[in-house]
Amino acid sequence: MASGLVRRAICRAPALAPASRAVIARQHASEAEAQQVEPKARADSKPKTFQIYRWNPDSPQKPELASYEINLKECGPMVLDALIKIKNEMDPTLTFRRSCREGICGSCAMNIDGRNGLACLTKIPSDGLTMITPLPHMYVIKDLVVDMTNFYNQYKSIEPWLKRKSPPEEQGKEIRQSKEDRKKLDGMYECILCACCSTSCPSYWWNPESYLGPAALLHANRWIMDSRDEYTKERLDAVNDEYKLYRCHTILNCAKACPKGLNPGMQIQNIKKLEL
Amino acid sequence: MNILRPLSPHLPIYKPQLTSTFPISNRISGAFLTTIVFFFYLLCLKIGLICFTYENVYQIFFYSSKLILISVEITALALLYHITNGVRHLLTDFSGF
Repeated sequence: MASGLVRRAICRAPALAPASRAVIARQHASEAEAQQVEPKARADSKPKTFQIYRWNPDSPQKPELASYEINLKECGPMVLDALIKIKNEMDPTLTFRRSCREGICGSCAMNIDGRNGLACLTKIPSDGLTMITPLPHMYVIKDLVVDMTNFYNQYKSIEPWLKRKSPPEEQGKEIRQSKEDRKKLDGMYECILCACCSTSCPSYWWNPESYLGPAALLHANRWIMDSRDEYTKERLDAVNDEYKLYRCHTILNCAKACPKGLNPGMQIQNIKKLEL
Repeated sequence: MNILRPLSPHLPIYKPQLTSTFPISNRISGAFLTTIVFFFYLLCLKIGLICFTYENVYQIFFYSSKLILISVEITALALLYHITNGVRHLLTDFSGF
């Protein structure tokens, strides 16, 4: 690699004396074929413009869309790579949440090109303009960071923990569950609480405080369907409210937006059927 | 901190998808059909139910609907769409996906 750099430096330096150039070129003659690939890849840079929502609480003006241009050849494939590159090189004041960069923590949830998703899992679309805004219809703390307290409170309100009336059969050991019962939880336990689904639901936009939203209802179903939990009837009654559950009109934007491929709409249908 | 936080953009930027356009057009077609039925009902109250036996009533309705360009076709489309969506709702709500 060092020899490649040296060779590239030689190619770019026009003022070198022909004699010395011949000497150095002869030294690296064996690597000539390997080095020939590189100049072609370097030929064109792919520019890509990002329009990113910016709002600063310290100097509050109207929020605006700022444009940043990135060379896609020097950037990783995912939107999070582009955001980090912009923050490192162009604008250090760009603020966004991120943690795992692999789609498991749910911090980098934002709206990319009109669709909700995780920035670390969304590939950069190769052509045109990409618009990045925070999760829809949430209060913006700064730039792409939104206030998630309402979302977390709704999750807390469905009491997402195991509740039993009777003590377990074997004291001090785990509560047994068959494989079929465990399979009922598939499609619900993988939820990472990124809020992509709830903030894509128009019903949640118009009633954020009273409607629980697809994420909280998915978790409500997860605890209702858990065979080890004994408070099923109380959980169903707690959700059986005109606003908490029945604001869902099966719009199904949630299933389209989920970055983990879950289907909250189906789980909500399950709860509605159990309420019958 | 007494700065009012802005609300992030929702309707203007969210890409309309197949999943989101179906229910809203169901609601719009439902509202459209409701206004038509409502005005028709008010008219019938005024004229009285005896008008249905008079054959020229139907001629009047047909020709007056031609005043607005393709209103009959649009109404038929809205009705068909609303019924189809209603059937889809019944199927999915009572027998799963």
